[in-house]
Amino acid sequence: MKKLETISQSLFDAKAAEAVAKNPIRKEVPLKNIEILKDDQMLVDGVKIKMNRDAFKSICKIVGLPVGFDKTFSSAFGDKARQALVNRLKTAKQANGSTHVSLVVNPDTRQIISVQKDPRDLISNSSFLKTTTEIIDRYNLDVKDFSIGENGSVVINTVSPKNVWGFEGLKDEDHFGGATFINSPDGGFRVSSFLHRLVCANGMIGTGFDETLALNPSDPLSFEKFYSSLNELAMVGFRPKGYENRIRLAMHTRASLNELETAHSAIRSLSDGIHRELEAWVPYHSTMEAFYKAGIDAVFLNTNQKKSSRTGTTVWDLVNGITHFATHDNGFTISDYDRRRLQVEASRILTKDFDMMNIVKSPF
Amino acid sequence: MAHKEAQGLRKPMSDEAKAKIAEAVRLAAQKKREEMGLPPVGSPSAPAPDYIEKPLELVRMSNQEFPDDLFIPMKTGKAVDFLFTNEGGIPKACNFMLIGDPGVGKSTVSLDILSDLALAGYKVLFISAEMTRIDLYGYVKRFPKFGEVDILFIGEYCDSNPKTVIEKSLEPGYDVVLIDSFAEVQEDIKESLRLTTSGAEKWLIDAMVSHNLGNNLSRKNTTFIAIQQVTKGGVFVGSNKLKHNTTGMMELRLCADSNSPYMVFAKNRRGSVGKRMFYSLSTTGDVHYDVKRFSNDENARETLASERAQLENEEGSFDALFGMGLGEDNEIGGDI
Repeated sequence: MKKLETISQSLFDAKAAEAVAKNPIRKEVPLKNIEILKDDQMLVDGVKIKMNRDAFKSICKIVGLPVGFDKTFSSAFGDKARQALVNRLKTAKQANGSTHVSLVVNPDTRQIISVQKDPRDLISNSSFLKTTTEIIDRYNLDVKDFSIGENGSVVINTVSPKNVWGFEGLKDEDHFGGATFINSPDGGFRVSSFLHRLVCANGMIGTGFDETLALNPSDPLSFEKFYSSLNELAMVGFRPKGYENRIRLAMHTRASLNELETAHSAIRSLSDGIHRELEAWVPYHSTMEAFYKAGIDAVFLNTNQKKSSRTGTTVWDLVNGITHFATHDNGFTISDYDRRRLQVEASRILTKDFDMMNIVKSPF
Repeated sequence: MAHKEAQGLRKPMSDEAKAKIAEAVRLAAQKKREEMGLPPVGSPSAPAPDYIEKPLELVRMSNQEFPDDLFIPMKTGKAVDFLFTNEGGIPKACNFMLIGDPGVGKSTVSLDILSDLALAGYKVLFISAEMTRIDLYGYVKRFPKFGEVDILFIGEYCDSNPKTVIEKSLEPGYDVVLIDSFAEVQEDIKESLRLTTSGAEKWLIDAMVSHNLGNNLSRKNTTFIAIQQVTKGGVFVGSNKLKHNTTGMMELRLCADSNSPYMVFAKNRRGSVGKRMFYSLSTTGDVHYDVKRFSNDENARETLASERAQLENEEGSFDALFGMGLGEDNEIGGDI
């Protein structure tokens, strides 16, 4: 069993100070006072302000434009037509009674990073840290890591050393239960299970499981539900209900080529690892070669075909490859925050419908 | 006519005779009331006298002196202390009203507080106008600590003057007195002394205020906790005078979501209002307070308050960052 490493109080305090300093700033503005100029720029009270892709997506969502449709519309009618559409939808939204939105800005880049319906749906990093610290103390959790994203997002992974649990018949699958605390300008304050596998000390953030809790600070009743659900989660050692079933299923299901490719590209995009260097975690190239040797040049397969292409790697191996890369120092450059993103990605793969899970062996 | 007199039938009474008799009855009643030290019938509704019975005294607080001990709250040692005052404990020389829906546990909760204070060494008295000693015996089986509280069963003195009974019982001086219920004691006084409702209420309030000020043999600044009845709609039935003379108004309610009982101060001059303390009566021997839930509520309250302030700051920072409100048009943020 690998030793459980936790961070010191002084490091926690230093990170907390940094998180407060990087806190994004919010401003509530009337919907009528904003106008989309370009994909990456809006006019707010007569001032042009740059925005990132996430902010554009969130405003599309607020005005009722389906995710992805903006791209389709843009390729068909051009960017200007799309901006005009968003502005028209915005006007329609105003007429419908929605009068305000909240702009969230990164004070360092002076860029809008998110647009929310209500500024009170988000919580400042200082309030997030205060609540999180109180919960950590209450449940005697140990802080494993503390990461801050570029936009002031914060992720804190914790484990409860007294909550070790395993699964009948599964060797090497003992886990420490814990909780992950997330505060981000787009998703707000969330808590999910943190799953620490003892045999390899890999960590995974269980955002994909139903037990993920969200706190809506604008609603006082939300606090009560939040604390009550958190208590229920703590009572079961922070173990998500469906976790065991997902592990068993993932162990017996082969990953599709599409899943392998998704995992590979997630690691590649967040680290400086290139192609074959990542084989130990995601055997993408060896798999592609195997397909090639079998007379299939998988490079030319479309997404649906890749989803139907079985690989030699199980989903559980794939999940462990990602969590191992995310948790340990393997000599690659990757920020702490991106490590957490990979831990979330691993959970997403584990909890989604596996591409190969419904494949039936055919007699023909 | 002669026939009628012979049959012993009474001659009709003249109006003058009727008036004489009525006057005699009125004078006799007045004399009796004077003997008992009571105001004339109907006096509370009569206009206030145009003279001041007591020499007029304008108070300057800088000239006032009270012992420090008077401001140290009496601790029950339970979480409910922090509902009464921010520093924790039941304040001295105060009057608290306790109202709530039927069956929510008004008597149990208040007796639990009283018993804990008794166990902590405070001198306490329970004036029960609603329960008999047999009723309470059952309670004591479930909550043995209630057995150590001194109790006055006012119903056992129905042939006596309740005013005198209460005065006598309060005379030694207590730290805390629980009245269950204010309306019932008030009704007893009203009926026995033929006072109006407001007259009886005034007498009871005056007695409480007098003992708040330490007018008793042991000079104790008594605190009163009085259970008060509510209307079917859950509204306090006391007068405005009663409301104004209370330091705090505690409500015992059932949570709409969970149906769990909780207490909350709707008014509290010595502590916070609006803080909910959930409790459970199911545990034998003690009222159990849900401290964790109270702490969660506290956190939520603090978070909401600090977030409101934070949001205002952030809006100011936003304006400063983009020079908004300064008449500088077309400033471009970010690196384009």
